[in-house]
Amino acid sequence: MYRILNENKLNKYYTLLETPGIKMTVDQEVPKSKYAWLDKPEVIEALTEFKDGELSRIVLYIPSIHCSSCIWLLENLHRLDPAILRSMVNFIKKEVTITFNHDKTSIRKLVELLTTLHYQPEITIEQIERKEKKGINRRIIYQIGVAGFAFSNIMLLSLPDYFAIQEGLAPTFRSFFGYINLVLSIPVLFFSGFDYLASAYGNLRKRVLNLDLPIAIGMLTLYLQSLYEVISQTGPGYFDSLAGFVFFLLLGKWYQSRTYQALSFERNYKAFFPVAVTQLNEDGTTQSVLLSELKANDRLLIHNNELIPADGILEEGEARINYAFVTGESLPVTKKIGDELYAGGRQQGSRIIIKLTKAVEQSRLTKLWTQDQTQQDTGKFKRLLDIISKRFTIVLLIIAFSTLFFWLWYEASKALIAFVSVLIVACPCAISLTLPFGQGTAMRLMGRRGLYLRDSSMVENISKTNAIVFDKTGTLTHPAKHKVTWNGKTLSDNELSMIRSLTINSVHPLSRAVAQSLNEATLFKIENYKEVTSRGIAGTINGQEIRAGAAVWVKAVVEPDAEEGSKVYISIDNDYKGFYLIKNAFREGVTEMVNNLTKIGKLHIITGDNEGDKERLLKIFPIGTIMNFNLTPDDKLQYVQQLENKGSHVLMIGDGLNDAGALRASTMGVSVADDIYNFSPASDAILQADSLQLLPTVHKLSRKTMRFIKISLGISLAYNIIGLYFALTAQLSPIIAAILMPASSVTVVGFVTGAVHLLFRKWNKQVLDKTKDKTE
Amino acid sequence: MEIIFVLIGISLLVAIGFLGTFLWAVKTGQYDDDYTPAVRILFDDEIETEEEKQEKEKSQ
Repeated sequence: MYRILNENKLNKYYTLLETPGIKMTVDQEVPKSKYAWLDKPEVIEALTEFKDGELSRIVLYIPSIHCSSCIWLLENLHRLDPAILRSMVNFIKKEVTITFNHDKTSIRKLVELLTTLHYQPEITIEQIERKEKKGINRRIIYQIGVAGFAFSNIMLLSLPDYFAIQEGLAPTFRSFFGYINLVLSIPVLFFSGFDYLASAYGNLRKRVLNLDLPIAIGMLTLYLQSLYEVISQTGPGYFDSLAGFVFFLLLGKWYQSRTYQALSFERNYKAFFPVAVTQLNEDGTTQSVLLSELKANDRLLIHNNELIPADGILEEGEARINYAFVTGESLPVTKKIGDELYAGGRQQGSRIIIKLTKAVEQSRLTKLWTQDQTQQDTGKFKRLLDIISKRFTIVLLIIAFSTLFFWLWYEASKALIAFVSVLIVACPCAISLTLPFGQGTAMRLMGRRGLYLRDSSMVENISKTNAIVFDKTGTLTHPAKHKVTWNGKTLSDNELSMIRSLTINSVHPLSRAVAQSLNEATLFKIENYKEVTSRGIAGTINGQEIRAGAAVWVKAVVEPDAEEGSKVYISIDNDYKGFYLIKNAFREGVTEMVNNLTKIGKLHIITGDNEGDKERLLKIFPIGTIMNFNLTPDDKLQYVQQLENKGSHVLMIGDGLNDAGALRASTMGVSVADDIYNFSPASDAILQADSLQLLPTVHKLSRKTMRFIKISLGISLAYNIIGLYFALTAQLSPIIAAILMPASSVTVVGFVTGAVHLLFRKWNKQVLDKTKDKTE
Repeated sequence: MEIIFVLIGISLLVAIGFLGTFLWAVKTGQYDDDYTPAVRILFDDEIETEEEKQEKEKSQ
């Protein structure tokens, strides 16, 4: 990158900041075909914001903008490519608007240039299909402007009243000022205050009471009362209060939305977990590729039990697709070559090759995950809060009207002020916002460290767990690092190839281990492939039936021995050949993690494997751990169910393959992911394999987060009570009430978010210190 | 004191003028991004190096 900059005399980039740019590894040459799709006229049409003569304008979202050097570089793009006329950066939104000559360059070339500079733009399908409207955001600023104008002028004209200059003021002036105030208040009520009125009315028609209703009532009451007073010359009215409180309310609303935007901006882009699939390149090699990098016309290898990430056409293989995820129908559908396969289907059979017709809509997959209705419901705490916020408005209205009647009877002059202040000051925003903001922040920060939650309410579930259940294979053990040795009759190359051709179809860790050890063997075509969980796999190759799996499956006669490790027995044409001994390598940090986890509760291990690894497990796990071997998936489900029935809240960690039922039954089911990832909808969270040891800290932090949430709710409650006290006793003016309301919600939300951030930052420090110790 | 009517009238007109200006400023997008312009003004103009000066003199 320096080369490009230097050639164009842009060395100043480095003087602007000490650590410019992002991770500079190697100059990134853009693969030629990567952005070919940007040449399509429909895409150009959709992305171009403005076109005129030879100029076009486009807005690109660049997530890697992070400093002032970036702004400088991106605004000097015209020096790198003379066809670019100007570029303007909006730092907060991380967008760059480029005006360029479309005869001399194209969107594709722009994107390629940006990528070479390590400022890769992120272009989503949604952007192409939907144009964003900027105009709406400005409306509130207009409303604030009008309200502010009216407010200050009304106050000016109300000065005589403030100073109570009764005698010197001729009644003509009085009424003159009064009428001007009245006129000035009209735009305040009908333009600035319009949203509140419309929302209250709309909801009322549907028989719903929402929070805008008290505010609307307050506004109308003030206005009508003041109207009456001015026309009947009985008083100056309350137009200053009206304009003032509308102004501050709107200001607060605007400020709130700015704060929320800043706090939750990342959510849309980073909430997606990284899922990888196997891509087949043109030369026949395969590589693991993140979903977000896939585009149309990419070819993917989908293995047995793997999810189809995006719509495509079947190119090769026997496809039996289970669309349970999408339609609920769990009978697999057989597809022919050339048929279309839809995202969300799961292949059940030998591997297939599919050519994508669209890029992946990660949002669609996530939506499937988060909306899976058979899942256990949201936390109890959240439900409690939902009930409270529904009742809030009606309770508030009751209090307000009671106050009104009370004051009318006791001392009528204060009645109106008290009534309106009560209506405005109460704010349940904290109730509905604390939970999403606190949990959302926690969820996002956890995502950065490798634990992806299905839903922010899962934070509550984690905090409740008090028993931990581990699946062994693939979870505690690393599916890739293991020693594979063959025990049995010597195998010919042909037989080795057969074994590889069979085992390569499964994503079961043992199968993959065997397949990997036979990497050089040639692959044969396999027919009638089938996989029976916890038993084994089988298929027909060149007319011979080959089976691999448990001893029972292969019909082998087995002498019980104390060999450590898992065994995969092989038989070809009913002739028992021997077995592969796979010595599992346990993941790093398991011992430490386990020690930390004992503080949470009892530990259990359930596995479909035999007792081969028992000794090693005993060394790692503390005394009192309950170990269960040889369980079928159903057994596992029963086991977890029983624990839950007895009142424990189970945190289950598995790999999602043969423990899907158990994961679902547990309060919190976590599936562990490696690079070939088997997406399991049954889990509540996905944990990246190298983040396994973070689990105990995650649990601790979830509990602290929930505690912070409760504290902030307490703060909000205190505010409401104090505010209402002053409002009820008519000591609070509507203007002050209007300032307090958004202030309170911003404070509460800010507190919760800030506290969670601090919490996680302390954790970061600990993790950093630990890694420092390791390297020293 | 009747002059007050005129005075108030005129001051209101001026105030409305300011309001109009504000609305125009918002409409032409001046408030859409309030962070970047602050940084932008700090960028220096290019300092000509010796080579560039010579090239300019040659072409003149």
